Amino acid sequence: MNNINMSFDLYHLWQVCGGQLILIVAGLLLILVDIILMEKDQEIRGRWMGWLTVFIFAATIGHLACREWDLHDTIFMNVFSADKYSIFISIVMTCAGLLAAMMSIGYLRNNGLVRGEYYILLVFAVAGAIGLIQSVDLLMMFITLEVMSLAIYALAAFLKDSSYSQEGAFKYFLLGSFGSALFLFGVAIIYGTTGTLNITQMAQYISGGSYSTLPILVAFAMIMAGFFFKMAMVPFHMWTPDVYEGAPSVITGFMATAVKAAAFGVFMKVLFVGFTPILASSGQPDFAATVNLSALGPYWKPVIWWLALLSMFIGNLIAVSQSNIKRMLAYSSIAHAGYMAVGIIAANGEGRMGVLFYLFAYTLMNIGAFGVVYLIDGMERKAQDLEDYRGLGYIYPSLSFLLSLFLVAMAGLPPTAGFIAKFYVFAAAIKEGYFLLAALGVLTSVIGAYYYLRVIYLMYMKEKVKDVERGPIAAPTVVALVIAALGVVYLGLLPENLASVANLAQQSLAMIF
Amino acid sequence: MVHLSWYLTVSAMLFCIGVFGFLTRRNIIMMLLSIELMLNSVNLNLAAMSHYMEDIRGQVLVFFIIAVAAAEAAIGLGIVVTLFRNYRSVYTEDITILKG
Amino acid sequence: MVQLLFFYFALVVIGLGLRIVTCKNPVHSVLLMLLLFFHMAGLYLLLNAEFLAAVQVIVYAGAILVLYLFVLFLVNLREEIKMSPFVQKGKWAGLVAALALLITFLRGVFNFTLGPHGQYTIEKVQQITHTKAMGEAIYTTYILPFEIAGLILLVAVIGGLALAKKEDKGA
Repeated sequence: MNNINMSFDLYHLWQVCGGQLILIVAGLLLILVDIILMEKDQEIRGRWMGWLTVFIFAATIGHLACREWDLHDTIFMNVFSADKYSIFISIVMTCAGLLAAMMSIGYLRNNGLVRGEYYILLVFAVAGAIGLIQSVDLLMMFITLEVMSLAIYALAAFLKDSSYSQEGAFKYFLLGSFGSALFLFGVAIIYGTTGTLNITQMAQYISGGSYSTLPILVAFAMIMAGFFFKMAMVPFHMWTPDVYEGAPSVITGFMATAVKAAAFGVFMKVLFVGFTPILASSGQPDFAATVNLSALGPYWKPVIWWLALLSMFIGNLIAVSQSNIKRMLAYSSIAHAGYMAVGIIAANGEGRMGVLFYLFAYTLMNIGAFGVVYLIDGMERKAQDLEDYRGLGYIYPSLSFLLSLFLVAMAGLPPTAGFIAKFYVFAAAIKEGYFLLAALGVLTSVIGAYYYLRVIYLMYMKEKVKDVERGPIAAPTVVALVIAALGVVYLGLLPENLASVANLAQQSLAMIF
Repeated sequence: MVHLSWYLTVSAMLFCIGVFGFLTRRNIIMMLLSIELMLNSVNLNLAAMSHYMEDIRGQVLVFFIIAVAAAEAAIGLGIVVTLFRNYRSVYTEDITILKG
Repeated sequence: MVQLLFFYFALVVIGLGLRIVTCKNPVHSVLLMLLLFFHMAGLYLLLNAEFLAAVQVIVYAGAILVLYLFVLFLVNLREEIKMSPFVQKGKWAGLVAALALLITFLRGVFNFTLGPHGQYTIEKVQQITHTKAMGEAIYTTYILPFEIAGLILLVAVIGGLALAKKEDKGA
């Protein structure tokens, strides 16, 4: 640790940001492949681009898990850090990319939209997201955040004939840029008061105690607000339902998981490394002496307490009255952001571990659910109403079973990953004495269970009223759905492995210095 | 000698004007312009702080913000154009169809 | 003299800003924005940041605003594209929110303490010229962000292409 490397050196660059490098170089190569395949048949072109993207993501996951995971917390050129925490979240986001790419092969074919740019943007979005989570410099954070966001704005607007897609993408763009502007204003104030853009140096300055509180608090609030837009926390959530409903279903699944993971990950990094350093556990004597550790705690904890509560209540309550399944899942994703925020408030090791576990589990179940939604849809927006799901259990038994599994996991019922994830974050909150918040959280997840189970009820207990014809099912989508389903069940039955890995990851957060 | 806090005041006022415009205007071009105003105020803030701190990093950040603003404008206006294509056939006072 | 120039630029910037967000016609707003960008460049000159002033004029005034004007003329002017505002209660809620933010910021400005001084003193910057000072920082300390900024432009190009390209149906 404390291994700061300032000189530019290709070998170190490969060591620390190998995942990003693979994705960026592969993205550039994909542009070439797209040009080479220009003359070929649409079908062949789409399949080639899709499978190449899947391969790229798989290679990236392999590299991240086998090579970068074992690095001992290195900071490269003061902007990128390779620590287990960043690598864990990078793997979560790349898994989301992998599953999304596998489903996209079928999705694009069903919608008659075989376009190479789609995969290129997807690869660059994940590259940006990994850069975002690895960066320890606010400048780098802003730039990589924009790489990720710009790619996703374009992907959300990918259905060019659909006004829904365009309107949703535009709202996302407007509020996303508004959020970036708020974030930047906060960064400017931080720069002015601490004289640095690096979050570790900023932490040293803040723990020195020689700062005026109000500007730091304003900056903190602005940076938090900027990230809350990406995390879709109430009251910064107003874009979420529109964007999730309008965007292509697979991209919605990707947005709801990868972008949320990136936003939560970087938010926790800024919070626990930059503003309220968790230095006590890092055991570094020179820091342990300056006891200004959680001086900002009294300010941010009540704010996140209320936002988490509001997210859980508003997300779950409004989801009950939705008739479109994608919109319902959008409100449920707001509620899930609230549950994850409970783990952040706990601000202990268990809470952070719980959030990491939650992000992984949520990625599997949410992308899985959107995958089934796109299959039942056939063409985008043909069968998205909850009414269309009546009686589907007898027409498409396997798809209905998978959807039921993912919905049960999201509701947080026992044999699935969703239950364990909720258990971890609430247990962490109770350990820190947040009984009321945990109790209200459990109450809201009971409300949540109502609308998740209502879909299952409609599928199995009701007669069908409308003929729903699903689109052709592509093999890679089936593989992706099966992987997601097995993951959800496996993590529900044997969570210890992932939990111990997540615990290692959250411990390394204390060592980014 | 111009004091730093004057620059900061100008920048804060410009930022709030941008926020006001963003929250109240309904024309989408105006909303985009309001965001540009906010970014400009951040740039002024950073350049002034950087100058008074005798440090160059703030101005480097301004340079990057300008580059990103250009890229953002390209994507945002691209979405505006496709959005407009979809609405050209029907006259609508309000583009909002996603509600609830 | 410097103070006079500062007040001129600052007042024009604030005044234009207010006019821009209240102006009925978006074309007028875009043109006023052009004027505002030139005055911002003037403020950068007062801060000894010639390079930023040049970039401000070239990129903001030269590229971004032209894009805005182009789009404004492309979409029919009489059919303004509107969307329902994010603040439901209309102008007053927006005004109150902006004023509250302003009061917080101004309190922050009065409590503001500047961070530790760096090594680029005014004399040094004037001696080696601002452009060179910026270049040194960008191409040494911030070489990685600079590379990734290239990626942003690439993503913007591909995204713009994906949005603007005509669908080749049945091909």
